[in-house]
Amino acid sequence: MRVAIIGAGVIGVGIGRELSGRGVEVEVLEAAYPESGASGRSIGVSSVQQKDPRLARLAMEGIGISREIDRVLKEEFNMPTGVMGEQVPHASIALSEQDRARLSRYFEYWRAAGAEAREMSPREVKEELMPWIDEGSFVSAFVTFSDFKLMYFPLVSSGIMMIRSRGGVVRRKSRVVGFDATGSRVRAALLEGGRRVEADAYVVAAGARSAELAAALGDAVPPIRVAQAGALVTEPYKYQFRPVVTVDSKGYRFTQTLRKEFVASVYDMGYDNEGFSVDESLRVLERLATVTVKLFPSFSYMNVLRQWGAYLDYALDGLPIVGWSQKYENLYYAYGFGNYGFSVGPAAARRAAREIADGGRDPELEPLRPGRGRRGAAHISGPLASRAMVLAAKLFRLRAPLRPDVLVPKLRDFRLEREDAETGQVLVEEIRGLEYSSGFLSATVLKDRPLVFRRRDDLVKTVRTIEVPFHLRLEGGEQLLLVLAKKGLANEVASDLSRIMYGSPKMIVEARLSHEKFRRYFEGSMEDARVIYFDQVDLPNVGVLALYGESLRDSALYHEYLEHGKIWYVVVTLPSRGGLTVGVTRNAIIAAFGRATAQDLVDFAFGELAGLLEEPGAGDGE
Amino acid sequence: MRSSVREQPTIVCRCMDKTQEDLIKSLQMAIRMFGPEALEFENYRRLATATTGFCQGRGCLSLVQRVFASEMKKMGIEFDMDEIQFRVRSPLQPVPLGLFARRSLEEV
Repeated sequence: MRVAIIGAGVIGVGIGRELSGRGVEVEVLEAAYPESGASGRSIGVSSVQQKDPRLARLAMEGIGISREIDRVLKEEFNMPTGVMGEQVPHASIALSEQDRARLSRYFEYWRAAGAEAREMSPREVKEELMPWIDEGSFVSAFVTFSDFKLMYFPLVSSGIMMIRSRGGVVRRKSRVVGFDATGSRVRAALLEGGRRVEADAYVVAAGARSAELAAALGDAVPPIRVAQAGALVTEPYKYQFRPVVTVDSKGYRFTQTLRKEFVASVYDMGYDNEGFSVDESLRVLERLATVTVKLFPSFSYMNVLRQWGAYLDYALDGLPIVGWSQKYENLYYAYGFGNYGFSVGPAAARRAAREIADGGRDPELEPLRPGRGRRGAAHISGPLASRAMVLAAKLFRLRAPLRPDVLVPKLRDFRLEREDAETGQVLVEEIRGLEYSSGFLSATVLKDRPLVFRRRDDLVKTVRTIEVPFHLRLEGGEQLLLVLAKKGLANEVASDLSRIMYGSPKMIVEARLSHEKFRRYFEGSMEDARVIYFDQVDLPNVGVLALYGESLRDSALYHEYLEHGKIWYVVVTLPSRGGLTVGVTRNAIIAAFGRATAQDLVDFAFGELAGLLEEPGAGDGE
Repeated sequence: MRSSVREQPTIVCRCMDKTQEDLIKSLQMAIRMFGPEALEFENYRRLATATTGFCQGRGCLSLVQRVFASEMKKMGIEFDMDEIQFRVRSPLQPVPLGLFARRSLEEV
């Protein structure tokens, strides 16, 4: 059997190593050079601290595999350093009680996977693990004792050595640009420069580029989001700083390497960055510096020598994608390992190799299949759910009433694939996480957009998935839709939903507030108004009038302006809603400021704004 | 007679204390590990640890690259110098972390 693997990172080389150990002939094709992607930019920690019980189990299993590799390297390959590095305590820091609640859930996963773990108070952390930490900067820490700092570069290079010793080969500068596929089989991978690579099976393990390859094959795979990440290294300092420190709410990890330098990484700076710019490097550095200095004030003098960036591929549900393609019988996917390829990779690679070489299906890999969650109500939870909250929203009205029993199944099953005319990629729009109770429906629209950006000298084509939560009020008054997004995107999603619900894009329309009701409502809380804009001003050469700051206290001015125009936009703090500060326009665009949550926005929209709408069909002359 | 200056080793990477001889030995090892089809400068420099010290290659990068390229050539391995993607990166001078720290975690 002959297998071609695309990608020479920790996953591709890991699968290659395991396959060649099973007597399979392996050729690894790498677009740039081995570990040129996320694998080579890691700070080298293998950790059981995963945010999913299944990943925690795989990470625990991986420790045994790494031990075995370590032994083989030392005994058979005469590599005295091995790969294991040093086993160290790993402290996940809770900065707030909210963090603590979330981490304590993960903590149960780690313990259930068999890791030795305990929660420690700030004082215990300071006394037992790291005297440098500021015990006032956090509320609690969840510590595991089975993680280790890897001798990380050897993990990939030793894998390559093992592949070669068994007759396989790894090639740099071998970029796969397409495939030759007929029916349900891939016949060859086509390389830049015209070379064809034929094999019995193909493995896509190209990290952030995997979606691009799947798109070239027209294969629908779970969308991934490419998160910007970055890291830095300092000069070596003569501390004995053994532990690894993670602050998950800041996507931050910190430790000292075996060479005594300190390394800090941030594994998620958000998703919407289309390539690095100097500004973004600065943002990464600021986050790394701020968190480090907050926790370890005495480390503020440490000199940063070098900073680098990485792209990490995360699936929406945070799980990697491992398994056979649903479209091609000899194509296998293994990507989406985000920042945990070193932790979960070894066990996932071994199990994947077993499936590829021996057939059969590994039940432990079932939740990771490429076909998962494509239909129905896969619920998005955890950090991605909170990241999806947008504090802008727009209210729409439904022009013709719909019955919930008709609508709910229609939305629940919704999924649409289309090919993008320009890039040829498969774009998916789907609805997930639908919940319906007592007249209110909530769900999230996931919508792919083609994304092309420049990385080094290449043009990278990938897909970005946007998540837009929405809420429908179907009973208890006029039927309304609230889309949690800024107005442009909200309009787009509203017309998409209209198409799904009615078959026409024009059945969901902007909700407008009645000027009279709007005015009366906000006059009730005038003392708490911050800004008022007036439009439709009947004075020559005046577009908009505005009141803010001191001028707001002048009620004569307010009444004068009101005579000449209409209230267009108000920013007001509402004591009746726990001090929520909102901005509202007359066409029902809402923005919430400060610490408001999405729920606050939903309650405000359906509870208050819904009562201020124009009568359907009426208009006040706009 | 006493030894001359010629027998002194030629230090190429001063931060990591790597001589030309060390670099050649590391390259031979790197070729054995990665194979001539896979090895790139980036893998080599990590394995040899040259250019990974205090200066981060600011002082020695071109010298180490020259050793790499000429030795690859001697071994008959085709290697295009344009392939080398390793560059000097920010910050250009070492800077203390405190300089970039914001006052509050909310800001970052």
